[in-house]
Amino acid sequence: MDHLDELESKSIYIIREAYNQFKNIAALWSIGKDSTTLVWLCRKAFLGKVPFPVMHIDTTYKFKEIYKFREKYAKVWGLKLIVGKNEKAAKAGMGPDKGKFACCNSMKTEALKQTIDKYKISALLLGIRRDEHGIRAKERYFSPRNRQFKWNYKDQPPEMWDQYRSKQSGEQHTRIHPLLHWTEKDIWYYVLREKIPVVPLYFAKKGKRYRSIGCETCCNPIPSNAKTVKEIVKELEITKIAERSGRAQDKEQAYMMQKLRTLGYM
Amino acid sequence: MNKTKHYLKIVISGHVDHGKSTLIGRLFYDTDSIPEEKIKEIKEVCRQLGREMEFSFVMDNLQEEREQSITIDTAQTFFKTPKREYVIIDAPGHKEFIKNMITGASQAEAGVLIVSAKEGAEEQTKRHAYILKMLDLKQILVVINKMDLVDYKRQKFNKVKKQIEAFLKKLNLKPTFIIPISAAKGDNIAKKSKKMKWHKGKTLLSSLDSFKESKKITKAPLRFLVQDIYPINQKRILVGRVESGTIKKGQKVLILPSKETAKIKSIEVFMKKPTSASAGQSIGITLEEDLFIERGAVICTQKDQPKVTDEISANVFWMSKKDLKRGERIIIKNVTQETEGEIKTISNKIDSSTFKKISAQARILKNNEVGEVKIKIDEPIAIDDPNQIKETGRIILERDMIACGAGLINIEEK
Amino acid sequence: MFIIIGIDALEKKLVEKFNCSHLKQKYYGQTNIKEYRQPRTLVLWSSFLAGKNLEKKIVALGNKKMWNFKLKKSETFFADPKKTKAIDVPGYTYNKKQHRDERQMLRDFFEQKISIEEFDRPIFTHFRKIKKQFINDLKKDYDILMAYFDIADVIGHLSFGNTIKMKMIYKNLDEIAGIASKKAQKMLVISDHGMKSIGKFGDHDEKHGFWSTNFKIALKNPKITDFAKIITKNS
Repeated sequence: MDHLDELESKSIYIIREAYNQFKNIAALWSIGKDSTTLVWLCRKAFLGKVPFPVMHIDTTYKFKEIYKFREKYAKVWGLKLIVGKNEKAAKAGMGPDKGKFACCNSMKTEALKQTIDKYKISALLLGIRRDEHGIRAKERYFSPRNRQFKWNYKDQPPEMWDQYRSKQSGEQHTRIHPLLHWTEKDIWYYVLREKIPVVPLYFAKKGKRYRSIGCETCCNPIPSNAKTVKEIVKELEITKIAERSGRAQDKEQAYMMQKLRTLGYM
Repeated sequence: MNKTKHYLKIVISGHVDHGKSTLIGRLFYDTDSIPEEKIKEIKEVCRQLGREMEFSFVMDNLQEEREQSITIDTAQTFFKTPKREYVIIDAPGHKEFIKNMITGASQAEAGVLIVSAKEGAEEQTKRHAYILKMLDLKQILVVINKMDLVDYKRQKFNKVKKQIEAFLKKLNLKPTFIIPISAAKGDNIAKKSKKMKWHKGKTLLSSLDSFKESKKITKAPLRFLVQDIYPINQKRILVGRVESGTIKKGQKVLILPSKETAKIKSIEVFMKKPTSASAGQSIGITLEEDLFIERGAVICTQKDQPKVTDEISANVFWMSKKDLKRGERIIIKNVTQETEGEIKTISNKIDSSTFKKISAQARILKNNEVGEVKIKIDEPIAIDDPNQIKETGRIILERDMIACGAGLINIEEK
Repeated sequence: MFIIIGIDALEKKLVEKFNCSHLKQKYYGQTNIKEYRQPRTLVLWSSFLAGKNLEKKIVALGNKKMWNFKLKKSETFFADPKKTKAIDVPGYTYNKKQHRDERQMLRDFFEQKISIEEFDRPIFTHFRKIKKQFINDLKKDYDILMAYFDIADVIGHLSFGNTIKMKMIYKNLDEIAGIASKKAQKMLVISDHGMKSIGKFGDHDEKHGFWSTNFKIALKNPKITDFAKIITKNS
C-alpha cells in the first residue's frame, strides 16, 4: 500500500461508516476537483453505484463548463443528481452586484439550507481538507451542525481509533469530511493516478488557469502554463502560495467601503 | 518529486509554557515550509513594533479561542526536510483538552516531548509522557528547550535530562534522543549549535529524519471486521477493512463470534479483480456459503484466533468530566464490534500526572485518571492483545454517543 | 495618578483570546453603546469625555467637519483636577493632520493605489511615537494622564481577520498597560467600540465597547458616558 492507497482506504472506511450510521445522507458536489474526488471515492466505496443522492448547489452564476461537466458525469456515473437553487432569490435578481457577502449567503448558504430541508437530509458528505485553511485544521471527520449551520468547535468529541459518531438531536445535520487528511497535492496526484475527470477550467488557457473554482462572477484565475494534470502537479511541487488566493475576497471589500463611508472615514 | 512518499506523523507535546508554539514556528521557518509571505509579514510587524522575530506567532491561526491563549484542539500542520515530509499533530498543553490531544496523538508514529531547561519537568509534562506511552509511541524524542535562558550550560541540561529519564523509566519508556535546544534562537533545530559544542548528538531535524515509519504487518494473523453488507448485483458483499494480516480468494476462514466456517469466494474492489488484500485496505468480500452475517462479525483463520469473551479487562484512560461509576452500564466498541456492558470493578487507579496510585479498589474513575476496569458485556466480542494486534486490542467506552474512555485490553486477566 | 488608556476598537473577545492580562486588569467588561445610531469615533470619544451623548450635535457637523470637533477643557472630566495631560485624544487634543492622512490612506488602499504594508507603516510609526510619549509622561506626575491609541482600529479595518497581526498588536498594547499599571493608583482602559471581522477586514461593533479597571466600579453594563463621573470622583 502506498501513500495514496492509505488515504483512499481511510476515506472509503469513513464513507462506509457514514452510510451505516445515517439514514438520509447525500454528498455535496461542487464540481470542483475535491468534491469530484469525493464522488469518485463514493463510487469505489459502493463498488460502482452511489446509493444516495449527489447534491449540487447551483448559484446560477457558475461557469458554463461546470454545468456541462455536471450533466455529462451525472449521466456516465449514474448519479442521483439533486440540483439545489434558491429560486426565490434568483427570481428577485440576487447577484454579486447586490454585495458579494449577501449573494453568497443567499445563493449558496440559504440554497443549501433549503435543499437539506426539502429532502430531509440528515448527513452531508463534503470534500473539505485540513490543509485548505487555518480554521479547517480544527475540523473533525464527523462534525455536527445546528440549525443555523453553526459549528461548535470548542467542544468536539474525540475521534479516536477510527471510531466516528456524532450526536444528533432532531434539529441538527452532521457533516462528514472523508478528505480531511488529504492535501491539495494528494488530490492532484490521485486525480493523475486514477485518471479522474476534472473541469477544464483547471487547465491553463492563454497563460491563466483557475486554482479553485466557484462562480464565474467572483472567481479569479492565476498565472500559469499548466495544461494537463501532470503539469499542475509539477507546478504544485514548487509553489508555496496558499490555494484560496485566487478567490475573490472583494465581496467583503465592497461591504467595508460602504461601512467606512457611513462611519465618516471615507 | 516522490508522490508516494509517506508522511511521518509526529506529536509535539509538553507544558504549554515550555515553548511548544515557538518550536513549531521555528521548525517551519528552518525547513522553509511556510509561505514566504507569511514569514515576511510576521518579521515586518515584529520590526514595526520594535521587537525581535517571535516564532510563536507562526502557529496562531484559529480565530476564536477561549480565555487562555492555548490551542484548544488538534490541528495538522505540515513541514518537510530533504529526507521526508512531516505532519505535526499539534497537541494542546492544557489539562482540559486531553481528550482532544489523544485524538490527534492517536495517529502519530513518533512523539517529541518538550521540557524547559529553566523550569524542568512539571505536572503536565508527566501527563503528556504517560499519554505518549498509552498511545504506544515507541519512538520518542525529548527536547530540552530554552537553553538560551540558562546560558547554554551543560550542567543544567544534564540535571533536567536525569529528571526526565527517571520518570520516563517508571513508565518503561526510553527516549531515543534527548537534545538540548533553543527554539527561540534556533540552536540544534536544523543547525548544530555553536553555543553547545559539548553536545555531540544530532540536531532535532536529523533525529526526526532517522525515525522509522510504522509499517502495517502483513504476516500477522488475519483480522477482517465487517463494517456493512451491501446487496449488489444479487451478491451479498461484506465490506470492511483488513485490520491485520492478509485475506485471500479461496481461503478457509472462521467467523466469530458465531464460530461458523466459510470460504472466501471473491475479493471485491471497484474496477479491479484482486485475489488478495492486506492490512489497511478497505475492501469487500463474498463467501461461498450463504450465511447470515452482520456488522461487527470478525473474520479470521482457525489458527491464530482472537479470544472470544464476554468479560473484558482493560487499562482505561477516562476523558469525560462525568465520572465513570462502578455498576454503570456503558457502550463498548472495538473496531466495528459494539455491545453494552456493566462496569464490574475499577482497580489500581493512578493519577496520570503523578503516577501515584490513588486506590487499589475504587467506585469511580475521574477525568484524567487511569484504572484497570473489568466489564461484563452483554454479547461476547473477539479481542486481541494490543501488543500483538493493536487495532483489536483496544476499546472505546461510549456514553450518549460520545467517546469517554479509551482502553488497552489486558488479555491475561480474567 | 489616574491613568486612562483609550484604545480605539479594543475588542473584548481578542483581549480574552490573546490572554492580555494587563488590559483585563482586575475588573473588565463591555460598555453598552446601543443608544448611538452609528459607532463613530469622534462621537463616542467626545461623549466619553463630556459624560453625555453628543451624537446629535456632532453628526450635524457633517462627515468632514466632524473630525475637527473639539471640546473645551471645562466641558470634559479634565476640568476639575489641576494637572492633566491628554495625548492625541479625539474630540480634545486630536492630531488633525495625522488622522486626516490616515483616512486618506484608507481611500488610497480601496482605490488600489497602495498595499496593506504601505498602509500599515505610517500607522505603526505614529503608534511608536505615542507609545514613547506616553511612557515618558508616566515618569511625571499628573492628576489625570490619558493616552489614545488608534492602532487596533486603523490596522484592524484592513487586517482584523489577520489573527497573527492582531495578536502582535494586542500583546504590545498589553505590555503598555502593564508598564502603566505600575505607575497608576487608579487605571481605566477603555475603548469606544469593539470590532468584528468581515473576512480579513474589521468593522466597528455597534453594540459594545471594552472597559477595565483596577478598582471596583458600581455599574454592571456601563455606558461610555458613565465614566466621566467615576473619573472625576477618583482623581
